[in-house]
Amino acid sequence: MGGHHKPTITVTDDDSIRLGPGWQTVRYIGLYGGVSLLILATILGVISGKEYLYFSYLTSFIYFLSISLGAVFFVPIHHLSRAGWSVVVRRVAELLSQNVITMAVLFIPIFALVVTGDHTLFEWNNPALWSIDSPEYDQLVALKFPYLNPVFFAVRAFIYFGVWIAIARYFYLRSLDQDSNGDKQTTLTLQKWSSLAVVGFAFSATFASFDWLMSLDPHWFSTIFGVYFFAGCALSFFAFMTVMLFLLQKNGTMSHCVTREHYHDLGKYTFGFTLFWAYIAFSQYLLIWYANIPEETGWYLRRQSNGWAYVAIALVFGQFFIPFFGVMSRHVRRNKYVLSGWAVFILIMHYVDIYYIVMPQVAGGTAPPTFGLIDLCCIFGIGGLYISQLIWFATDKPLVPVKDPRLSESLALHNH
Amino acid sequence: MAQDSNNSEPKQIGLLVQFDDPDSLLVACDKVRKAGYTKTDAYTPFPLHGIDEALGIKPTKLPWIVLTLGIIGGTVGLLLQYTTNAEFYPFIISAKPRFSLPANIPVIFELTILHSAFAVFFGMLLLNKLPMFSNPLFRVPEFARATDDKFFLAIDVTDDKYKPNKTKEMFEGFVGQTGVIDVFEDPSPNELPVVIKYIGICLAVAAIIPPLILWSALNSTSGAPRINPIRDMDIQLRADTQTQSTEFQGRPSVFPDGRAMRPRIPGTVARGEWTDPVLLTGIVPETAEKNVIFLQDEEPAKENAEKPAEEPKAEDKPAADKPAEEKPADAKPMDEKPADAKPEEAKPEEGAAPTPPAEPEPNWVKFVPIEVTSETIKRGQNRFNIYCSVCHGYAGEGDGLVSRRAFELIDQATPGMAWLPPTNLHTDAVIQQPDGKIFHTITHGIRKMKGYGDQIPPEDRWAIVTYVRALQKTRTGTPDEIPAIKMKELELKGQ
Repeated sequence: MGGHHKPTITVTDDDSIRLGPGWQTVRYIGLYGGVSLLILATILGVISGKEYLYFSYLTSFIYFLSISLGAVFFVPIHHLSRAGWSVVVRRVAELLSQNVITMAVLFIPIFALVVTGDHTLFEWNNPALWSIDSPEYDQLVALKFPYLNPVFFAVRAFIYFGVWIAIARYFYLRSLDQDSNGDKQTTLTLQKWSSLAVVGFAFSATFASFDWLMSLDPHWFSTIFGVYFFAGCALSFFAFMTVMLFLLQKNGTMSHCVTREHYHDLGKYTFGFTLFWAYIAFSQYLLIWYANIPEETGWYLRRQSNGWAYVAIALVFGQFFIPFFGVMSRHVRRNKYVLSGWAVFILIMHYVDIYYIVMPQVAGGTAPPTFGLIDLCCIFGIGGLYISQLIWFATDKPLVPVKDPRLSESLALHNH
Repeated sequence: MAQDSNNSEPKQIGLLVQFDDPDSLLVACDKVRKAGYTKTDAYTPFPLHGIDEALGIKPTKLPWIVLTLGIIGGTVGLLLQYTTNAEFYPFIISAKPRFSLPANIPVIFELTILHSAFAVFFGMLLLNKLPMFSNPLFRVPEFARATDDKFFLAIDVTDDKYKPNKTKEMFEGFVGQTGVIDVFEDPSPNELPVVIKYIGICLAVAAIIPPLILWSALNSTSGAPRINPIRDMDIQLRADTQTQSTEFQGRPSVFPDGRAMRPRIPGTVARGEWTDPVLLTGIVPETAEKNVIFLQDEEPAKENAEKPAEEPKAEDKPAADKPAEEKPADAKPMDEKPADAKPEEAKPEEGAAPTPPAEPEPNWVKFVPIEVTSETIKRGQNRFNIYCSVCHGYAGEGDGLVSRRAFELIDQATPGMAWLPPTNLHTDAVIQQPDGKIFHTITHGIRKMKGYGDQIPPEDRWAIVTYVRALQKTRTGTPDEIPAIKMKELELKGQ
């Protein structure tokens, strides 16, 4: 603090802040492995029933999308709050946000399903539910037709990905420019646009969660659902970033600039968002439980019957109590090995969270929780592509914004 | 201590060294710690990174205090709700169990936060030995600049390593020091002034008085009117409904007969309050004069208890005055009884034990007395689905959720449980009822069914009757009842 002790540490743009050559092998394993696993999942789905495949694919898709959305949120928030501590890790977040482009490509199968009129995944896409002459006519779905129809769904999907890609590309490319020209004005410009980006992110992420998760049960509605989804995005993002930094440092990248102080701050975020997730998840549950309205309770009833209650309880403990007390101590947060372990645990529980939102809708909510080869193929298939694209984006790029005016402040970070 | 401690010369209690920059202070702190001193402290105008390590200050215990109190707070919140809601004052709210965790979590959460916040605040004060009203350091004039631009390191003479001259020498040898100052004990007496002591005693005694008064009041009875310290709007010169108006605070009562309000004059209708009695009751009045219902007219208590208030007119006038064209719909001969006839029973229906048809049937309205449009039927459907369908089912077949649940419970072997399902609205007995009777049933209920007159306005009740008729038509209607143009539309749709 104060004018004393002004640190004059800098990072030179050399190989120590670039990906090592070993990552290229990982990239090709991820790429070819991912594609072949997704093909395998498709074959398995064709054999054993496409409905499960669709839902499982959606689960994994949302899982990896949410990590990147956390990054799309984090980068503008960093600029908006003129954060000093996070400059060192911001480039990694920027690279993670680039993966919304990958996710946009992986969204094509879901997009195609809806546009071609398939209603296996999204029940509301069945014209029989809207037309008053049909015996399956469903008034609640029909009333939502102005919003839940394939055309508007497609338009919205374009808007969401448009907004996310615009935010991700803009902040990333301007930051790269700054690396070469060192223009301090860039920081101010990015700060100016970050407020708009945060608003754009809030709306798009909220409505995307309505479209792709909430509308799986077209009768159900929860006004807090967008926040619930966002809490998961932010939590998984911080956990993923911790693991990423750990792996990068393990391979000798960024080892001299990311210190235990940065892990400590990431740990604080992880801890805070663990509590925030629980707070929002419980807020959603409490109101629905108390009001006891059939349209709302149906969603939870489905998630408490047929063995789903065990998954719910696993979430209560695994996504809240255990990591809450696990990451509570500052000694844990300041130890990158222990913190990364917790981050992996949180990432696993985040998958359970998305799984708990999506999968009970299989077979109209009558199927018990199952986890099989299709799920594994979807996770590692999409995950492989996700990682390989991430490496592709990061290749030959400095992983630290070397000419950011606040870089030295970040390098000298010291927690109280 | 080497210092002599007579009264004229104050005792030295510490040594203070001043620096102009924080770096010199940090170096000095480091040296002092390495020399083995422990009773040291540093004073700086702003928080200084690394000072804790340099002085060897142990990490604070505050987090543990906060965690402990937070857990205690959460436990207290849980127990508080368990004991009050489930033990001492069991009360079912919103059909939830007496002790239901989800409802209790907000309070548990809030109390955890409250206790944690208190633990942080008071724990911080406690660990810092605050509030401290006086510190000998404040008597050193140079020390005032510790909040401005000077940095100080202090050491207590009670430190084990402290040697008067050696320590001072060491301090004087620090690089960057701009003065070594002896700190002396505050010579002013540290006893409490006598005045304050006695005031304190008096206040303590006075503080016991209110609890004593409360205690004695709790354990005694008194005929005196209660003390009302904040009158505000508690007592008003206003008569409440159902209260007597008596003399109050020297003012006479409002009316000589002790009433606070005047009853409405029998046989009159207030402006804008007239409603067609047929619309209200479903019964065509029996005389031309008595076709207005005066809600304010007092009726015999027996009638009030057993008979709907809207149909007292049969009692006053001979039934012979009844208009001839309004025959009872069920063609039962009208038993013209005098005014104090027993209240009519529900018409026997299928499934119910046959009752002798001795009671007179009122002169039911045959057709709904409101204009019927498609809007009416839609409104009726809407109201029917809200109020009626839970028992009668959406199609009126008497298979609503309540009934289905009841049969489910019987299937689950609840011994001795019987359930008479709600009336199927498609039975002949209902179809043949005049509209007025169905209206009457909705208004006042029948058998187990409660009356909905208080909940559904008359127009909506008639709309429900219309919709019930429409439902029945779905079973009894014939193609020739459909207007030709509608038939054409249906044929075009291929149905």
